[in-house]
Amino acid sequence: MFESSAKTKRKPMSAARKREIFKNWVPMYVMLLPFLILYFLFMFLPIMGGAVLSLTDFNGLQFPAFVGTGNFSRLFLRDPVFLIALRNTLFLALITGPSGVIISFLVAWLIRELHRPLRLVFATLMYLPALTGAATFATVMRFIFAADSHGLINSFLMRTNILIDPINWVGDANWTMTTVVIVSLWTSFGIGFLAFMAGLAKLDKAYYEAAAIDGMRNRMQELYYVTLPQMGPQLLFGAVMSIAGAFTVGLISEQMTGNPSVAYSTHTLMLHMQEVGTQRFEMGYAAAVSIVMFVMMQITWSLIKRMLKRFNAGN
Amino acid sequence: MVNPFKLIGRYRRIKREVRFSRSTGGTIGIIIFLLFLGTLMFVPFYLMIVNSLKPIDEFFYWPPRLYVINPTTNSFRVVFRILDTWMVPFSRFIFNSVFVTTMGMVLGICIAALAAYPLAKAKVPGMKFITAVVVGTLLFSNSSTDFVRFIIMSQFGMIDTYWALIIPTLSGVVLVFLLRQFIEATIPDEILEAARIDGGSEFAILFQIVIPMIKPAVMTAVVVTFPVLWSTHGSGVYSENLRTLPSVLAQIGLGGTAMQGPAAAVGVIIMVPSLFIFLYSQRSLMQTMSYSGIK
Repeated sequence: MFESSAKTKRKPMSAARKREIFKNWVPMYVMLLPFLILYFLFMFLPIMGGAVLSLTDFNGLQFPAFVGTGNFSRLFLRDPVFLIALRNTLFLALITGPSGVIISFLVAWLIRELHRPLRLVFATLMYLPALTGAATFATVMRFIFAADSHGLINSFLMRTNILIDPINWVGDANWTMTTVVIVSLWTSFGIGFLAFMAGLAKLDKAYYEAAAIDGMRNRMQELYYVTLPQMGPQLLFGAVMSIAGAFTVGLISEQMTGNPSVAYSTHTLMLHMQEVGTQRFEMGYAAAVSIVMFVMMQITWSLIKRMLKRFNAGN
Repeated sequence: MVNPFKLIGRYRRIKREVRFSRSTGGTIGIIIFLLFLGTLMFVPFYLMIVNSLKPIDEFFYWPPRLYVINPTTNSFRVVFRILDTWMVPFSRFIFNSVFVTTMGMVLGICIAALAAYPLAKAKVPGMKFITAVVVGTLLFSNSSTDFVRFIIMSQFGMIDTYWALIIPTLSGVVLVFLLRQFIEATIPDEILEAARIDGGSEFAILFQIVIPMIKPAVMTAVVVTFPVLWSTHGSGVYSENLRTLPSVLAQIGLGGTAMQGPAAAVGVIIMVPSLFIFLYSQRSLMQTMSYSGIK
């Protein structure tokens, strides 16, 4: 005791502070280093590269030619397919985004209300579509939504005399969007759902006991006053993942209705980017589409962050 | 010898499980609702298994059957027969898939945990900024930056190597963010301070205190990364002997009505490992949770 205090007294303050800083700071930066290197090379550079390319005309072979905002004015003024894709993306995002957060959270909460064996069964059931993987999932969905009378839905509707002729779920521009929405809702339970499950399991039971003693009447009150205010980090994570997923929709649409789909009825920004970039090799133009996507995501994200913050502060 | 403290702990946990303000009617309602939703989620999986066991003529029945009349493993045998005639031995694809999945998962979670701890707890300049950058990047999905990443990977000579399959997972920020949120929310600063006063280095604190306490989050990370890596079709790999099992299987599955059975069989083969990983992690997730609270 005495020795150590004497030691610190003898040394000049600045040197001790320096060593303290060195001892505490350096290991932290060392831990971060592998991630930072990978992030810089394979995430930061691609994003910045995309931003730079969006201002150029680049075909992948010749050196990019600077065109300023030409790509963007072409997108909004001279590309009707882009506008269709924009409208479809916003529509799908409005449906799949909230469902990814709200339905996932409610179902995770309901599952936590049950006891252990049932919990495991239901959590596994809900996560099954995500475990299957989008491509495999679509194989089954193509069987259900098949265009001929052998499709499950068509055959059911025809046997019950609701339909006389089969509906072309994946090839009729009036129905393709319905199909894509239904299949998208099927895959609502993703990474956010897992975060909610784990987050709910981590909550402190003492709060619930205190709430019960203070006169908490039912589950809904408990959910609103005790559970939700503690779930801030998980809700934020669920929201961000669901925004990222909602604005980059396209895989399901591509798997179900093809790319390009009939009359571009389920064309999305993601698919437009792929079509322009990998089929027409207009990489600068494709990068501009991705920038539009990112701007939309950032705006939504900042809105939702503000909303969730106000909600958590309000409680 | 029974540890009396453990017994007390167990008693406390049982006591905590006692829920207040729960109505039986509500519980039954919840179960009915979840059963309905669960059935809906189970249907595609069920159909996949049924289709994989159907002989080819049963695909042409009308109305289509939701069950198999004469189950057969023919579809699976067709898949393996095709694999047998491939240029590269079948075992090579299995090795590729297992190698890529394991390496990607282990490296990915290690790098993420290393970065997540300082981001959550270090009182060092720059952490808030990096965290904000990480959160901002969550919105940039891998697929939207793929073609520029491809150019960079080719500069490093990583195209047509295992790296091309692993790098997209490693450079993602989802795992870092997930682990950081959990560390920040669940690990009290007092424990870390106590360990520092006892003379623990930051690395020792990370591996001996933080990681054991965030096991549920690590398990979640495993559940999330496994299906992605396992079903990777691998853009950036062209050599036949570097291809992963799913990319070869997917090729077999493309074949219209006649190949519907084998396509479903392929789905089952790809899905089973993911399902096992999920069930296994689920169980240890539940176990670790009951140990994790320290006050």
